[in-house]
Amino acid sequence: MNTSSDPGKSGRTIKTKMLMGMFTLAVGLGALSSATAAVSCASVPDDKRFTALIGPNYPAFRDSVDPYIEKQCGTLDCHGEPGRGFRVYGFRGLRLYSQEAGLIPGIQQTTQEEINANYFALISVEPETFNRVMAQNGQNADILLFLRKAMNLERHKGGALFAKESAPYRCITAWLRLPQDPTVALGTNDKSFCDKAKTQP
Amino acid sequence: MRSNTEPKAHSAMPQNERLVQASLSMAALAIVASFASSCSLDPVHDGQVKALGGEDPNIPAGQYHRGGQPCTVCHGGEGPAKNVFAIAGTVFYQKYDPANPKVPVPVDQAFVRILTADNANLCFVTNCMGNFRATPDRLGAKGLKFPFLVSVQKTSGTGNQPVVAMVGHVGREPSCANCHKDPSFFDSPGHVAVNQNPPNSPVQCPPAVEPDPPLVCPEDLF
Repeated sequence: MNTSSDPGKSGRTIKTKMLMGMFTLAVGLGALSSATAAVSCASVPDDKRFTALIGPNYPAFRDSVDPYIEKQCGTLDCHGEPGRGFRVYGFRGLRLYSQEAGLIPGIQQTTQEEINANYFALISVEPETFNRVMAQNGQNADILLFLRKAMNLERHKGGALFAKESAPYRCITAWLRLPQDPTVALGTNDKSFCDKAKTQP
Repeated sequence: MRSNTEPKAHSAMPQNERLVQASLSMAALAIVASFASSCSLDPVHDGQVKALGGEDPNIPAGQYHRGGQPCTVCHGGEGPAKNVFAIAGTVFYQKYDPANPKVPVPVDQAFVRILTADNANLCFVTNCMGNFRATPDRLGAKGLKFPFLVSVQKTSGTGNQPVVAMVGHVGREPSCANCHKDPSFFDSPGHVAVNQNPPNSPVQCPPAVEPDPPLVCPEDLF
């Protein structure tokens, strides 16, 4: 009898081959998952590492940019949510809670601490990129994520808030171009764009 | 002969075994299908729905139920409610009923006015449970353009008709109660409220007779 034509034996051969195949697949998957786990494991956070920020002009932010950002971005259903990375405080929405100071009543004006928190939240969205822009005296600000999001060039759940060359855009980019020196203020023309942005509905 | 019978043992399954296998496959398919049709596959949404809790046994599901809860969790298109709302919420009185100081009193027939980003004026009337809602077909083809401004007005017989307007705009949230949570805290101003005292005599709710035609705002009468 021709052994190769023995259906019983050929059935067993197929079964063995299948088992071998499954074993190889399992070993392969195991190796792949181990490799993935090895490369995806995070190292221990280094608490000594920090990024020094070149902070843009603070008084101009406080007086001209923050009122617009508070009004436009800081509602409770957008960046006034406590879970947001870029979190905006203000009297229209989220209040800065302090266990020592207690809760600020909703209608009380935005506090200095809240404006500070907004400033640091904005400049630390992507600190390295922000530093790069500030090192070039605010030129090429369009690479900043918060501007790209606001113009809906990056996906933004809140959609497009302003267009390039609109009053808010001119206000924010003028602020970024301003020297860090707190005694230097926005020019009359730039300030008028900020005033327009603050008051637009 | 062995060579003839063995392949049959591998390839041909007994009839009853096939039936069992087919039944098991059908049962598995039915379980998967029922799971997919009855549950949201989004665990976040599922959690939000569960967090709302069960129905109040005294209030049947309908336009009067779940006052003060974020309506569009269930009525936002992801289910489990079938009818979808473009916007919905509940309006309460600022002051509580002294007899029941923990439960806010809903405002019957308050006017909720919305000015949308494309300058459309919309107005909705609350029912006796303080609830109002707008279905997409009520809003028409233009829909509801975010962001929008909101105000609430409760007219009274004395000619006093104060309007309470929200200081900020609504960016994208269709449920009032997702931001207006109780108690008020650093992340919430508390429930939507008109700055008036609740009526001395409670409003019967649900009403004995449903208003027909449904109540509309004064500006929508003509």
